[in-house]
Amino acid sequence: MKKIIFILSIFFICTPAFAERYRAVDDNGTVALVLAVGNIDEAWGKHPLYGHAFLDIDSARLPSIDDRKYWKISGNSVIVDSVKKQSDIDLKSAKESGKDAVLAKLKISKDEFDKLVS
Amino acid sequence: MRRNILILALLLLMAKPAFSAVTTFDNTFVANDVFSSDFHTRLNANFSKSLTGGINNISTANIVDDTLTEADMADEINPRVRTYEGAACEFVYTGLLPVTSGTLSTTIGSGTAYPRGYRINKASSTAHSFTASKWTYVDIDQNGDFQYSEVAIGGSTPSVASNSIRLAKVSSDTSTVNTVTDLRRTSCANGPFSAISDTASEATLADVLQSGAPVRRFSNAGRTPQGFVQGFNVSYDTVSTFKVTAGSAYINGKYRAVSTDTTVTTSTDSPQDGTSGLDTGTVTGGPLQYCVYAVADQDSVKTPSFTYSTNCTAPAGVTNSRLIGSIRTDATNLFTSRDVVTAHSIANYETPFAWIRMEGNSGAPKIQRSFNISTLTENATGAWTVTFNNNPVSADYAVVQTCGSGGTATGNYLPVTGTITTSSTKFFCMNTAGATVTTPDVSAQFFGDNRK
Repeated sequence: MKKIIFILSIFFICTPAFAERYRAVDDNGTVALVLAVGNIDEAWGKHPLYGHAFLDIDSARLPSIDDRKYWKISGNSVIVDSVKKQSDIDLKSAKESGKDAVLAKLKISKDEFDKLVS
Repeated sequence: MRRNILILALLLLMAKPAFSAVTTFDNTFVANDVFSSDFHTRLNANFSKSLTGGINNISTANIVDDTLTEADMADEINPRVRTYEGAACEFVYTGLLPVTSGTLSTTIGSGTAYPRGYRINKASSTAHSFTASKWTYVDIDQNGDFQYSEVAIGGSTPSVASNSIRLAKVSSDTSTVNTVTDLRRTSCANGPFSAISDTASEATLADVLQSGAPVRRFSNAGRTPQGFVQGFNVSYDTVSTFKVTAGSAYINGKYRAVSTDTTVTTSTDSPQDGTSGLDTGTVTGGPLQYCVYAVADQDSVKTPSFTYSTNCTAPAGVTNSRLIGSIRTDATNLFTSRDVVTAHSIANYETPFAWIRMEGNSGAPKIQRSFNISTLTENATGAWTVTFNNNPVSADYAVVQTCGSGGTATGNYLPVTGTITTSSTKFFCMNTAGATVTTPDVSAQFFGDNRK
């Protein structure tokens, strides 16, 4: 039993063999990912974002790329800024609702409208 | 008594002459022979036989081994003298140079030379009257006689006289011997390159230096540059001058080198005096390209001169030349720094100083291969910045960028270059709607002043 637990813990702890290591940098509210050809610390002094807060992280620990525009550095992680993301969702939803309301007044479907404007 | 006489006679008959393996005496003598009437005749005959058949006909068999010493040898055959004088080849050990004169009559100094291996020693100077207004090449032959070959001033160099070595070129005007050019070979340690190889029958140093085309196969004249060249880069200097950097080269069978940069002006050249410049006419009719040549038209000098010409096949008035590059004038006939080319080297603008091929997938950019790239930064989806290990001299460089789908003929990816600085470049891949997009395959090349 101990052996099974030990082996399972190795699988959980080990990172994928080919994960890239990046320096995630706070670029005025967004996250820039820096990949160095050689040693990142040797190259960092000449980088345009030198002086900004950063976190060295494996690609396996990054959030989904679908949420790329919502990434932010929080402590030792890169997380999705859920508030910002929800705000965008709400804004998009409001736009959709407004559009539907206009189409209802024009008494045409969305497909018909798209054909008219294309 | 009688027996003793008989023994003595037998000995005389059998004895061989001391100095000849083949000579024997025709006559013998006995007791009281001196009183015989033909004694003197027989004696003289034997002496004569000794001289002609022996003393005057000495061969190896007559010489006792290890008895000849160095002091016994004349200088002409003495190996110690030849070694001391460095005679491992045909050369001039000392002297034998003509001198200039206020008239056409002058002298050739005393000295020692080894034409065809013969040691020729001229113990005193030799007078000679040179022909007016000629170049006269002076040689010395294996008999110790001076040989004179005359050509018109400016004419081609004649061959060395038969069984001779060359000493000098004498230039005369209408009434004086005004110039003597030393053409002697004074050391056997100096080559020729054709006699130097690592192992017998392998390539000589001459083969190594005169074969092949360095860097570029073809020059801008279409000609294949031949043989060794190092340095001799053509570079812009001022609106009225350009420079050829220090260097060395094989030029049409001659080796030349100079350790300092040469400034070339708009004046006319004089290759036989070693003066650099324009081959003919004046710098006019611009904008024009001028081809620059390294020239070896002076005899027995170490350095080349440089001639430039609108003729990129052969400059006028030059015999031994090698194309080394080109320079341009503008519409006002001033030299310009644009497009200066050296035929045998790559200029700092001609190759990219950095390039990168990458996967531009958002959140996981990867560098597939790169040169002189320090970091790749994904600023956002479809937006990247690269920094360089070795920056170019300035931010005046060109960026050639592609955005690719990674193999499929779908999607729209437009390369857009952003901020360019000396140390970094920002670039994007966008769609036709102007939005940055994740791009599978991105590459960029950077061309500019690439000094290292």
